[in-house]
Amino acid sequence: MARSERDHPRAVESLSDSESLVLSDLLNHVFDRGVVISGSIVIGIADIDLVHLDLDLVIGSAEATRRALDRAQADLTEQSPADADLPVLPPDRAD
Amino acid sequence: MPTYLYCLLIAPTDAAAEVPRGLTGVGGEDVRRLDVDGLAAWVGTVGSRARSRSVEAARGHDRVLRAALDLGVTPLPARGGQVFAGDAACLAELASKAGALRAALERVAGCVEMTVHVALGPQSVGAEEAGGGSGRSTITGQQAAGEPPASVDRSGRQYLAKVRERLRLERNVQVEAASALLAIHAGVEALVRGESSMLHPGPQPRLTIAHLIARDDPARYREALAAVRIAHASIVHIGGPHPPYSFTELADG
Repeated sequence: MARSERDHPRAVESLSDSESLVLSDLLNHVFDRGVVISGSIVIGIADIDLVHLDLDLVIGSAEATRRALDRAQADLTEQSPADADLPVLPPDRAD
Repeated sequence: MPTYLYCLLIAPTDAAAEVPRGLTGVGGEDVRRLDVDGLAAWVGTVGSRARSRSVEAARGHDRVLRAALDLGVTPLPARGGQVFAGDAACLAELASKAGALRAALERVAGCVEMTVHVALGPQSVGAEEAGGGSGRSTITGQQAAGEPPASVDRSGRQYLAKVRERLRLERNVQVEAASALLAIHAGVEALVRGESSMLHPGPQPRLTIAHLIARDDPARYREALAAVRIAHASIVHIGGPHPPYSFTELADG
């Protein structure tokens, strides 16, 4: 079922600032993409914290993601294996 | 004088690879063309000021790339801020990678890049805030009801519960992102020649997807996206057409 923007207005309100996204796109494109030949790429960044220039997590192509999603959904339906990597909590105290 | 590299084109076949008259670069310098091994490199001679990473420098770099795109050819974008000691050093580096660069140019020929920004579900927003080290105990209602006094378990059980919840919610964001990626991929698959995606897991998690499509297809691409429905997420912005910044990976060797 599709979720409309009304269902999570906070995130959409902030992210739908298209000017900010265009600027974010521009900075990510120019400074985080593009072919690197060699030469020197200056690291100094002025006022860059105004926008997101994230060190992002690559989640891969659709084909790779489909396999990862299948695994994740299997984990979510089988609670115990999914929790295997989560911290084990000690029992509540009866103070 | 330092030479700043903007982009590359295939010299012999891109008759339009001539730099438009009056085109200026990141430092206000004239953009010019260097030829090496069948490649045309658009470069400028810059001073030290042009080397800094700034919004103005990004705009200047992108302006040159778009000028190339507007000529009807698809440039291979160089990473912003790449400066060589001079033309000779730039040409030497390009010559050493000419084969891989030509292959990369062939992969993007006739294409442009489109970007899709997707806002992911709101439950992850609260999660990141809770896990962000603010010290506020806002993880879950379940924990609030059953948690022991803070003075007892503040650095033990409560910490582990916080870590556990953060990991669960991070996983939820990844699953939502994967679902969104698959839904969008299915919607535009017929138009897409390349794809890459990034998950931004911050306080307002979002997914950015880049697609390589034919130059004539942006309108059809936007129409196709308008029909895509995603559970627990919304497309909030579609950008492009851009030069193919996200599709510049060079083959080994």
